[in-house]
Amino acid sequence: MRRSIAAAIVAIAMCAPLPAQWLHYPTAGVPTTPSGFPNLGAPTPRTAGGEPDLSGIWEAENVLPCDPNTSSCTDLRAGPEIRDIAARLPGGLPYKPWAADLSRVRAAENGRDWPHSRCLPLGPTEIHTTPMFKKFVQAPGLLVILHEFNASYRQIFTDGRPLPVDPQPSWNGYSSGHWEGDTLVVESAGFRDGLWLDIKGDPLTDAAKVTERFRRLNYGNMEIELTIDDPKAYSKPWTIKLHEFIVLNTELLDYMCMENEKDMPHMVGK
Amino acid sequence: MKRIVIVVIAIGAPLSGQWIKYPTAGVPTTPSGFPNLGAPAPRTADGKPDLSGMWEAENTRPCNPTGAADNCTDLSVGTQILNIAEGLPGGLPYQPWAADLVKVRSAGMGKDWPHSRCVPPGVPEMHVLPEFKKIVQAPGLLIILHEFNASYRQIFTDGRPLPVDPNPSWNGYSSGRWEGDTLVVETAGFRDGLWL
Repeated sequence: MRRSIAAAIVAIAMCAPLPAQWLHYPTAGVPTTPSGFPNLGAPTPRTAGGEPDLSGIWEAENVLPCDPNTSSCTDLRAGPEIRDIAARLPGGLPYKPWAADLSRVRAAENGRDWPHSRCLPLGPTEIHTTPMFKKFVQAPGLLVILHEFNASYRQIFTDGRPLPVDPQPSWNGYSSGHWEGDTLVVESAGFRDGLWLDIKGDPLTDAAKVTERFRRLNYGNMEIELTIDDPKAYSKPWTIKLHEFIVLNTELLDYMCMENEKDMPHMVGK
Repeated sequence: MKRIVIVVIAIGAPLSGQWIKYPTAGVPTTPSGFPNLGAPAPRTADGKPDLSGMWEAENTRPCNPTGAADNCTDLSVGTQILNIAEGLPGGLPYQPWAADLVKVRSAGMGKDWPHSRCVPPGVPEMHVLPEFKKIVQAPGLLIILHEFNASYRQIFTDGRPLPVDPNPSWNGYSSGRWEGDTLVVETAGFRDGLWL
């Protein structure tokens, strides 16, 4: 008879010591309530120069609640704007006719040609609406936004430089920001043509001027008012509001879209 | 008869309107007004050297007009881009399997070089590529912005220990500390299969 082997149950500590995992590394300087919880309503931190400090890791709000009747729910931090940038804009987008047609065609093809699904950079709206973390690092003269998608950056200059004249077209555009009271007003232009604003395929052209108004309401909440003035595609400027929440005690992970990419041949639209 | 009116449009933008030529702030100058690249290293408020700025690799492969043209470039890139051990006495101390793999890859003319598939260069290679890198030194965090794929790398200077068994990553996980005027950065947690 085979002697039963006493199964030694080795309790392997599956969790590394908390401080050794950066996914759980505590954020420094978080204001707390008397009980010791993060106080997300505490006043906005400020820089040495007295301006609001937008630094921190931010995520979009999750307002895509699960509805058993639709397939459109998720626990990802994403709002409806990721699919349709005008989801909460009364009246929708003021399309020029060609832009409305193009948007219809793209939506009918289920976003088959969405640049994001080809690992190309995010446009000026997608940077905010995509459900990945963004880290804002506010340095003198420069606000850097680090985005998990492709471990990519965006630079917003706050050194007073005017927007460049006839620059090389760019995915991120060229951004210059200044403070109006407690709001950082950022103007961007110089976008390459053919950007998408959402999965649905609403277009942005190289004529676009984008204005973002960043306002950190308190420690844990930031509002972004985004105005798009693209006279080639839309008959007038339009403005939407996005909400971001602070992310604590974790770190950015790199998401490298081109690594082992296998999806593209399967994207056939209908 | 039709009259044709010709209008001349100024096509040169004012220099300050072009960011490709936007002047860097705070450059120390010589008495004649030229940039003084030999001036002392700038320092942050806490007295440490400030590594902030845009950097490029040295060009150690200048074109010799009378020599062979296949090993020279005017790009700011040194010979280490082809061979990281260029100039290292004795070369790399390979394990046998690694030496074999290098031979196979070299014979394949670098056909599987990850860089040519648009994936990140990883840590030694990011320094030798000819694209610009912007270092932004903030309290507790040093960021390196790399033109290739408009990508970033984070080096934490807030004293955190390296993570234990982290998710493998292209850039690894970097934690740095000052030893005198030298920033010593340790990095681990790389994914397997990177090229140097």
